[in-house]
Amino acid sequence: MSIIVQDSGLLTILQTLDPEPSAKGNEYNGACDRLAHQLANQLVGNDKAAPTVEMTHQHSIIKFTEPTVIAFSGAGFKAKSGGREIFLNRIYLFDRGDELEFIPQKKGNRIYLAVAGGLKTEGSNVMKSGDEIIMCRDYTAHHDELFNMMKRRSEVNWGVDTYALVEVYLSDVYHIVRRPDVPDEIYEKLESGEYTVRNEKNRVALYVDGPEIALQDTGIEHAGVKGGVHIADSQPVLALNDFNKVTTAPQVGTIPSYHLHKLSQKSTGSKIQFKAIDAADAHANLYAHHLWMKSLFKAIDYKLSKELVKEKM
Amino acid sequence: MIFANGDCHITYQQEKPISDSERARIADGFLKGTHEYLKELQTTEHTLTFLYSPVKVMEAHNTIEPCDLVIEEVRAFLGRMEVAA
Repeated sequence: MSIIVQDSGLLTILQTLDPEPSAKGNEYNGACDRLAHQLANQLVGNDKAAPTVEMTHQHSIIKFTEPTVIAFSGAGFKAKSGGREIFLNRIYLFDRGDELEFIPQKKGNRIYLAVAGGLKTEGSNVMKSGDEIIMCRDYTAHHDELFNMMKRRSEVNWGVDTYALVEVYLSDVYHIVRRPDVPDEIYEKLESGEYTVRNEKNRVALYVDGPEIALQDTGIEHAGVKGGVHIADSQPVLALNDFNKVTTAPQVGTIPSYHLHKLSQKSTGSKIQFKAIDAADAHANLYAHHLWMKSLFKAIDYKLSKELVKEKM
Repeated sequence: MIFANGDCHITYQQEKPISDSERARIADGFLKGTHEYLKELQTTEHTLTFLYSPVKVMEAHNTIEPCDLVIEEVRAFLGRMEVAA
């Protein structure tokens, strides 16, 4: 049995946490929003790296064919199933025939849907309307407990509160790590005004408009790294997961990994402000972010185990 | 020059192009070698970019400044490959 992608929306893709080679020619270049990917998995008791369904901008409608425990995460989404309101970062049980439809919101661009026991696909990992995603059913004892609990109430009354994630997703300020070969004036220019997202080439790059950057092309061929900020037609282009491996567009810096969650949630019309920092500051921020993520996952485990113990009493 | 390209990459960059055969030799040397923190190598005509996990280095060395340690490893690798960095 499987879950059915009733309507694939703009881009629905089964995605791994980290880039993975695929014998079938699928592109597993990693989840754009690594936090949401891991959060959804953690809520349903999966390994944090298990594949999730990544849905971009115009989201899919999912149909369930058997009792399925799910959670979805992202930046500010809601969904509905029949007359039932479904919230992000909570655990739900859906039954055979249930449909889950995501409601477009002003903020946020990507949703990550995790299914307890994991997901896989036999064909392409890019889903089209009517495609099925196979449920792996790699159930652990923890999953069994979770199913038993959910059978009695089909949803829990707690989840990861939006306020807990505000610090990660709300701010429009993006750090950019300086390069030694880029003059200070470029960073001053980048910081001088606000940029607006013009459009996104799916999972490849975000194109923004704002103060023009006059950077001389030195003819250097750069590696395309995730978060890389390149200049094309005097405007910044921000590299996402599927960006070119090689580019001649001059690179002015790189957005650190802890700001890539919110970068991947930007949609057309969103605002971006750059703040240039050094690598040492980026590493200090990264470690603080790492500790915060660890505590968040521990809190989910604690809350879940408390619920399961309560259920047994 | 060698520098931190964001928080997860170290890049070696030179103005003179690196030939295709040289890039292949370096990439092969990287694949065959063992590395403490370097996970991947991306080569271009002018750059060698190494991916690493900064948190792993931070926790192994009880520091929040992992850059110098990784740059040292990059320098050692380039030395073995006879790339003048």
